[in-house]
Amino acid sequence: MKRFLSTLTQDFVLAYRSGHIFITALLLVIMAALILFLPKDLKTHNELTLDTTLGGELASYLRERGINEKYIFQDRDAFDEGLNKDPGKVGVVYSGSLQSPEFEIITQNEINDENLNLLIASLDRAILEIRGDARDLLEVSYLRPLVGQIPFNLQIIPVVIVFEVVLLGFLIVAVMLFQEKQEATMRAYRITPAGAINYILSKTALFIFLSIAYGLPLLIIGFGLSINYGLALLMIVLSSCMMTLFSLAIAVYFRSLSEWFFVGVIILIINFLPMISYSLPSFAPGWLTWIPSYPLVFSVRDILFYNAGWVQIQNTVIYMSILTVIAFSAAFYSVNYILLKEGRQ
Amino acid sequence: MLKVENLYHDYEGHGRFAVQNIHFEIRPGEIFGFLGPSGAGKSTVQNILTGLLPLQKGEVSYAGISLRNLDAKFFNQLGVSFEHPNLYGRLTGFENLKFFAGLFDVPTLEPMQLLEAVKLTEAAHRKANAYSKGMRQRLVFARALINNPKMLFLDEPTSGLDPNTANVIKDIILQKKREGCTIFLTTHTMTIADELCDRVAFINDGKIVALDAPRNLKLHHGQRSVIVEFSNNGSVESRQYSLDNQQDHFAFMKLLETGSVQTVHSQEATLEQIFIKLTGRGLS
Amino acid sequence: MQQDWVNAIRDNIILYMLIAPILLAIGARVLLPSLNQAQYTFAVQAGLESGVIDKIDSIANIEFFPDQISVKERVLRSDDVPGVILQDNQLELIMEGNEGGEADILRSVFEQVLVGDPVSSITFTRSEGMRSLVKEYTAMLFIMVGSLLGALVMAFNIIEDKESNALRALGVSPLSMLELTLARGLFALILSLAIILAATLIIMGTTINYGLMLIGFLFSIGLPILTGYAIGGFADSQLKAIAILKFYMLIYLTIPAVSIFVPRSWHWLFYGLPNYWMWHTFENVFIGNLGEPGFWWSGIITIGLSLIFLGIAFPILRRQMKLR
Repeated sequence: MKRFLSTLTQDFVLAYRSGHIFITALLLVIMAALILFLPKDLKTHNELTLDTTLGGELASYLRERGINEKYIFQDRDAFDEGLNKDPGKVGVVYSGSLQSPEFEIITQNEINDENLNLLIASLDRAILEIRGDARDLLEVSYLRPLVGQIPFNLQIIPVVIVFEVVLLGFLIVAVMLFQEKQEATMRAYRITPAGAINYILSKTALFIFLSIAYGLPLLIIGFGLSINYGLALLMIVLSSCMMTLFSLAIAVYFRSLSEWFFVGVIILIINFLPMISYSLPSFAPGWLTWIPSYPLVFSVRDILFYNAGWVQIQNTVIYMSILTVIAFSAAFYSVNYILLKEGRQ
Repeated sequence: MLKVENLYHDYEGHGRFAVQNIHFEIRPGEIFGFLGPSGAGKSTVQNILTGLLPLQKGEVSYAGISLRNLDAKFFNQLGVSFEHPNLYGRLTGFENLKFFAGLFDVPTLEPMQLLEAVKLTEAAHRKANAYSKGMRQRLVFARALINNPKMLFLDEPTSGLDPNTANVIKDIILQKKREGCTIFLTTHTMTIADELCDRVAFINDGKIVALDAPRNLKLHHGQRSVIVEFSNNGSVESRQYSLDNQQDHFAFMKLLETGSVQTVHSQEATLEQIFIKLTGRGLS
Repeated sequence: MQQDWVNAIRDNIILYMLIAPILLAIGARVLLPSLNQAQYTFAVQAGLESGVIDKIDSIANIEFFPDQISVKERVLRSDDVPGVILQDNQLELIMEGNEGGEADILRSVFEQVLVGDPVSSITFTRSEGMRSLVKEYTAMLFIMVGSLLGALVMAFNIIEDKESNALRALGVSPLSMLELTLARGLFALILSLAIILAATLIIMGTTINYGLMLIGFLFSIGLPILTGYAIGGFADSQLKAIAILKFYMLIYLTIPAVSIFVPRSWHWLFYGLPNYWMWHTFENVFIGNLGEPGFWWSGIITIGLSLIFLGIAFPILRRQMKLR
């Protein structure tokens, strides 16, 4: 214990004097500001709609539904200009009448037929609702209690927790390792009884602490006391642990930080890919779901927004625990048999 | 205390040995020196003995226990002072010692006490990367003593130190010897080996070429004669007298009686001269 | 500059630095079609009428499950997949409940597809030269990353000089600060350009105007140099460099990427940042004229702001990195 505390204190002091604690605090302030000052409601709409009918029923309907005025047009020139300025949007031109509605769908980029058919269905439904002919014929059930719209400013929190907070360990532990290699302080460490486990545990503990110190204030700012902090912190601890150990396991094989850096960036980018799925949940190819941050970000989302309990996230916890064990084994092998040894075996 | 037998080490696995057939024994409480030029294999041997390099071929045993069978607790008894200072630059001198002390299971010395001993009291709370080369060397030396080791490995402990500070370090080394510490000292400085070591091994190109007490080596390889400088009609002359030659005895006594003798130097060899004689090259 | 090359090669940096983005670009190229074609997936109980299956198939991928329980288990997974089961011989739509404010809309649209009749007459107009904006934005992101990577290698070399005190050795040579600045900067730019060209070719092929892209790059050269010196100048060790980089990357990469999603009315927040204008410059190259200020003015603002930032940073950096 004494050994562990000594090494941990030393690592903390080094991280502090290298500016990492300061930068982390600065990032915390920026993230907190984003959470506090980003709008709660940021609706974007994928279509620009031009209602050419005299009555403008569709335009009124869309306004009543809360669609922002800048997506609704009743002037062709303004509509065309809007489309030109935003080639990502789909143009919808409504003409005819409520009894025989006509739509022209203008696509500026590749959209698959399935999504177009969904759009057509939504337009049909809109017409039926305006006419008062819409019927709820289909039984619908919700497996969990229906939750209202998540404020936009809070939606970034799972992303920050999973892709930023947890990142600390991955990046900084490698940097500290290379600093020790460069200063050759590993040689002094090797001729003590301390060993690989002490080294690994102290680094991991440091980054668990920093991750909690970074993530917890964000959770409190965003949610107050209304979430399950036990589960949320469990997610942070597990993921920080796993990423720190994984980074340690890999970094040992590189001679210097500059050599490791680009490989590290690739790994980080792969780790970031599930962010796409978070924004676009329908994008979930099988291979992506195996990236650890994928189940993690959705589990954190469910804990924060949908009152997910242990039952809902246990698969993620089990998965992360297994990965942590694997990462620990790999880190132990790397540290014990490579980092703490010199020369040819 | 330490026994080394048939030690070999090949860095690259191509059959080119950095050290070959190294064989020696160190008695408890002895200061054992490894003297040789840069690249001779001194640090390689030390690194093997301290576990920093793997034991590829040969046998090393501490108090009868093979190095292969020793566990991490073994390091509680070891202190190592490295040739190239390896300190945490962002930690102060005090912190470097304090955190290092925390890694041992045995009682450790007070960091300030050690810093005082190596004359680093005033710099104790300055970061190590602000230290001069000599200050870092002293701090590394102090760190090697923090766990009160029974076996001390010192690699060029006075490198980069001015004579006064070097004397401080030498005094500490001798004090440790008096306390019963066994010391393995590698150096390429003849005077250090001469002043401190009970026995010295000469190493060259990875092999031990001589091993004995410095005094014995000097007597064995030196000349049994003296060179006498004396004044003669206003100028200084010198003459050599053999200690084994009767005629030279009388001549020397006669010269002494004249009262003109200024200096007398015995002609035992220096360790450097012996090294050159045995290996054909110098220590530096 | 030759020394920088040798250092980078010996560290395998050149290898990793060029290979890493190329591998990523290839990965992106492979990934993009499926991203672009992202669509809903429905978990469907086996045994539904073929007519219903066809209707679901017209809007989504289908995953079949043998029974209701397995459909519900699938719906409960994280990826927002609704389900359709047969309950008492009636179709039932299963949703997870985390659809938020869109639950109602989704429900009504799915219902329209499954049981509603077509109402409207639809015609399609597809623009000429349609493309996937995801591809364009991905390529632009690689440009930002490429410029950052070149700057990083430069920063690491500067730090290496500081840590090894080689800067002092340079200080007692005839080398001037300006020569050192130019050599270092040129090194960063060449590396950045190599990555940018390789990544763009892989992702976009020959569909863009490379001449305009190179001009855009020239407009942006201030940024990699500023980045390299900012990180290399302020950091006295690689450890500190990574700390600075963490903060810097947030501003450098995230803000342009975020500006895609943020409404234009909020973009004034980014007007003071040269990397925002650099992004806008390349937006005009890859996507087309998106209105004022256009390619040329965006480029001029980029270079102007870069020079202003360089001017502000220069006195501080000069003190940090002076040779003599």
